[in-house]
Amino acid sequence: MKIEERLFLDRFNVDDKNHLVVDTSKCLECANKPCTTVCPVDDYNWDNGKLIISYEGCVECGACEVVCPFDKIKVTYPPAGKGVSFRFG
Amino acid sequence: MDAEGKFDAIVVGAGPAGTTAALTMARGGMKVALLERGEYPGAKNVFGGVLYRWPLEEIIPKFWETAPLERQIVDHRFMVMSKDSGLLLSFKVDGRGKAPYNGYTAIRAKFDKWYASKAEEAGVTLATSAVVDDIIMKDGKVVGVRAGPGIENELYADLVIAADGVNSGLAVRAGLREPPSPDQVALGVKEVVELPAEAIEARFNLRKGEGTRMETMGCTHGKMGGGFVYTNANSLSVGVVILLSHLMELKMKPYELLDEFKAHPSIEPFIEGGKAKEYSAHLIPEAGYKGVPRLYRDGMMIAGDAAYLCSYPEGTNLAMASGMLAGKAALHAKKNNDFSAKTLSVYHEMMNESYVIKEMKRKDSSHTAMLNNPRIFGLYPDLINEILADVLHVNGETKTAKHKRAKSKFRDKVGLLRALRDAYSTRGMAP
Repeated sequence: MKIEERLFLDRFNVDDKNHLVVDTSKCLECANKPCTTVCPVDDYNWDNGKLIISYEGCVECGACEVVCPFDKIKVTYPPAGKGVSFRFG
Repeated sequence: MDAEGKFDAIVVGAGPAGTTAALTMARGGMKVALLERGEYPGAKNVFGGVLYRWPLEEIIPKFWETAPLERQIVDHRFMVMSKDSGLLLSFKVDGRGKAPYNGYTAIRAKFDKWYASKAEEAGVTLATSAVVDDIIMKDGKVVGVRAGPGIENELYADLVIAADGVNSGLAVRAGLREPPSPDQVALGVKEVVELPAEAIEARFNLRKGEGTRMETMGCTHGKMGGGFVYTNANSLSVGVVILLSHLMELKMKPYELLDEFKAHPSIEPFIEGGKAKEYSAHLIPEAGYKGVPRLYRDGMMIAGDAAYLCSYPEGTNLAMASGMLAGKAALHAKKNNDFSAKTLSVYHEMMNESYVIKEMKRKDSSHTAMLNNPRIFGLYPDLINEILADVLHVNGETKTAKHKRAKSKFRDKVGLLRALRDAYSTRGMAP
């Protein structure tokens, strides 16, 4: 199943502001770019020498922050009532 | 609250640990605020697992009569998989008229909401959509929490209990632990797949209301992890868990592992025709006993996943047990009107004597052994399946020849001494 189809199943209340705070200054030095492979919703994509970050479909697992070898990703909490709301969980 | 509007205790996170702590304190007469960042308790929570009767029954006797539960677990299954085959073990108990049961499946969004409502009934003030950013410190003591900029977002109490989950920003802020490293957490990805109750009961060979928990190994490309299928009333929770550092090495997308698992010939018939209802992901503490940090400091305690109190295949019950003991320690501190680290250390002492820490200690060396042993999750499941496929295949070749081949395969690929060493080093994983 495509990730877009999967995310269509979930309920999001998307905030205007990106809660994934990323400093991309070290991305070019980063050999494996683990954020682009571990993210369960493909929020991190390496495209033309640049890290493209979307946050709308973030399920707030926090894996990206843990795997960043340069400690440049900070997952903050979306503000009150925003972000994903699991109906099952 | 006292005259100044101050709570005795603030609990951050209305999951199983936080709600249990809040409930325990409120019943002992403390004024408690329970802050949950989700729209409702459970909105940010994910589990693939069983809610065991212990210790919930001690907190809410006969909870099974009113709690929103899915199915009573009577069937424990374990599958050793290769790429295209699987060896399935099932241990089934007679559940006929045997309520209450040892464990139940649950939908967390429903259960956590119900559980927090029990805390409210006991007098806890529950605030949802309450996002706590930081703790407030004064003279080296934790004195409150901050839920946004400005003085109006500050909340003070004698005690803060952080039950804010595996990524616990508050435990890190308080210096009780570091942020997780990739070998201290696993990533779980899960789908809830809708199926009629009758189909679930037919496919898993269950009576009405009965349920199966199924854990599998051999579906993570040799990496530490496994798959699971849990039966809910009208849906299945299907997922894959993999140690985060191993997922980094594997360089596969986590949902690709889930797709492979769902398409596996031994899994696909269970979910066939089902409709996906939700996709979720969550980190799971895998730090073992040695990863458990100090559980208290002046004015603060930590419980549940925030303190890495999770040990496959148990977590929710360990969180509740820690919340209960944190609540008891808080009542002890309140009685002495002393919330210093010295007084709160009774929490860690009680935890050391509890099932939670004793179990985590028992498993600890096995946990390390599995982390560093690629045979466990790859070679062994593959070899078991390969040998069974060969031996069970009737083609005119004598079984004696097949047994001989199985023996030499085992000898070449593993060896008796190494197999014994591996079995011994992982003995703590015995159920």
